Amino acid sequence: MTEIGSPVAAPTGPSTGEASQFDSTAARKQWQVILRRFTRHKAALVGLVLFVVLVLFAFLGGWLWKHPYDQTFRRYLDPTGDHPFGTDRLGFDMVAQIIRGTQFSLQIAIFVAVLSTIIGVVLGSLAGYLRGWVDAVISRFIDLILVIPSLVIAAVLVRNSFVASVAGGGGSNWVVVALYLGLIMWLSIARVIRGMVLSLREKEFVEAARALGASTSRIVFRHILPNTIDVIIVNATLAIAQAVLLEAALSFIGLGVQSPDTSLGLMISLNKNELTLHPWLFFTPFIFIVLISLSVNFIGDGLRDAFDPRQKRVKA
Amino acid sequence: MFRYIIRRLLISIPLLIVASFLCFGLVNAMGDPLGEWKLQKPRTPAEISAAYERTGYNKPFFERYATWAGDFVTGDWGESVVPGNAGRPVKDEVLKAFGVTLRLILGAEIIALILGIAVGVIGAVRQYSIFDYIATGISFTMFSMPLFCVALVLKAGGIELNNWLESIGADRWIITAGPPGDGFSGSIGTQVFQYTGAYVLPTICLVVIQFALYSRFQRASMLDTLNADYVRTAQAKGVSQGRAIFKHAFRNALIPIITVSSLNIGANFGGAVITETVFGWSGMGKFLVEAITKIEPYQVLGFMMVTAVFIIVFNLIADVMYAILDPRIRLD
Repeated sequence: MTEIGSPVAAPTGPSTGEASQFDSTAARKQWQVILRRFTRHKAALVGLVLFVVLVLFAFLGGWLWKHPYDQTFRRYLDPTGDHPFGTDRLGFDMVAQIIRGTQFSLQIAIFVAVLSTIIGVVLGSLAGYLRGWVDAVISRFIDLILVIPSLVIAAVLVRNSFVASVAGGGGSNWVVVALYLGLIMWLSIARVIRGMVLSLREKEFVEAARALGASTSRIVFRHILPNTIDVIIVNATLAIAQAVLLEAALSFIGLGVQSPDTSLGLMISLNKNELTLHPWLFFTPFIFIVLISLSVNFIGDGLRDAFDPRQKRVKA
Repeated sequence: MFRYIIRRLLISIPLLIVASFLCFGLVNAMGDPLGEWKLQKPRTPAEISAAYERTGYNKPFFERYATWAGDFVTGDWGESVVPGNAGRPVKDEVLKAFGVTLRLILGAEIIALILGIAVGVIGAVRQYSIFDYIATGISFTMFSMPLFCVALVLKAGGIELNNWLESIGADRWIITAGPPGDGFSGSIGTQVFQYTGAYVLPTICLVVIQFALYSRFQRASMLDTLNADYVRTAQAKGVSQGRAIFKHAFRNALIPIITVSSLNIGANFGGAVITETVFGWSGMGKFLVEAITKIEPYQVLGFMMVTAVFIIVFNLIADVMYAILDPRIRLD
């Protein structure tokens, strides 16, 4: 966290004692500015609080809630004090089910966001910095993945029990779904980073670093990538929302998470025929998906505004 | 420009070859298309070998691919292989599904684009007004909803509406099982009634997500141009506010949305899987899901070739439009 964002801090190049002191002061100031801008963005703050609550609910709720998720009661109980979200067609308590579903959905989404960001940033910056044949290979590879129907890739991974058993370590398949989503979602961030790196590598401060004899990895990781950190963070945040929604869509067409694992998307698809008779079974997981992705989208929007140096006033 | 287009199209030929080969390999990795047929009841070895002979699956992988590729170039896209609906020419089925998807997405795309641009521009010009907040709130919510839930709720609402219409003695309006197979018939009034009944829900469904994307995007790019120096210059030299907004800012703010929408439209020709599934339209998305479920190698390949061409062409259109609209961009 020594060098963040501003090309003004970057040209100091290889750190002498003085320069790094300068860097860290400048960096702290910039983080403070961003933090202040973010906290002034009301929608983003609400989103952040909501997201933290959802994470706590998903990962701690299982211990605190009185009914375990695998205990059965009478089927189709209406929402009451004992079962605030009712019970489902097999008699499971919906609160416990929602806790477990939210946990799996968040697990998948965060895994996907991390994986797709790492692949996208590494390949995008390699293509943009090295250019030439490396760029050609990576760009053609991206074209290829765009052209091959992504559902075909999903079907192969989900069908293939070998992949499922290796990745899940026996039976659990949320990792397979997360891997698949990570493998198709890095394309856009890779393209954006490639474009940014292509232009950043021609800047004077990179030239200065190169003249001082900095190695390629030092130039890329210490000088170029810190200037793209805003785009990376915003994209990674929004990827969480995208992954939750994509996973739900996959569940609906039967290529998503499967039992014994679960997810909010799977819960909605299993309850799609209850829409008129037992609407709470359909709408509770639906509302939780909307809450996750709405909170993440608000955080992403707030971050984007906070990082934008042209933004003079933040009102929301 | 012309040479650029030709070169881009030529580069995409090897791309199509590699993509179709990989896709064929992926379908192969899904398993044996005859697997389920063999499990249904005991088959004699003679039956099995005849079935493999017919599908060509007794030959090695590379030979099967080469045969398909050779036939494809001459206009024969192969046949479906899974017993039960075997022997149907892939080309006819893909093109039929493509026609359905085209009818479904064309109107929705135009509505979404016009609405998105209008709302985005107003939201940017009146930034932080009540209108802007409401538009932002709506598009964020639309953005955050799983599409299939929206579709299912719309469908349930449509059925309720039908029941209500029936209870007051009117005809059922909403059609939730796709457009009538034998086309629309009757007087002009009935035809309009049937036509809107079939189209209204899937169109709303498609407009909802596209509108959210376009309006956010248009708002951002309009804000960019409104704050640009050349717009301030125009205002400073006394150009009227309307002229500054429409002639100077708006025209330039259209450049990014044209790129985004042409990429998006290119991808949409692959079908709207969820909308088509929920509302029973036999378009490209439903076609692909069925081909994957049954493991139909040539159907998947046929689907891929059609959609790939559209993705490639619309990517090219996006780049060319960008260069035409912004003379600073040089294509080479």
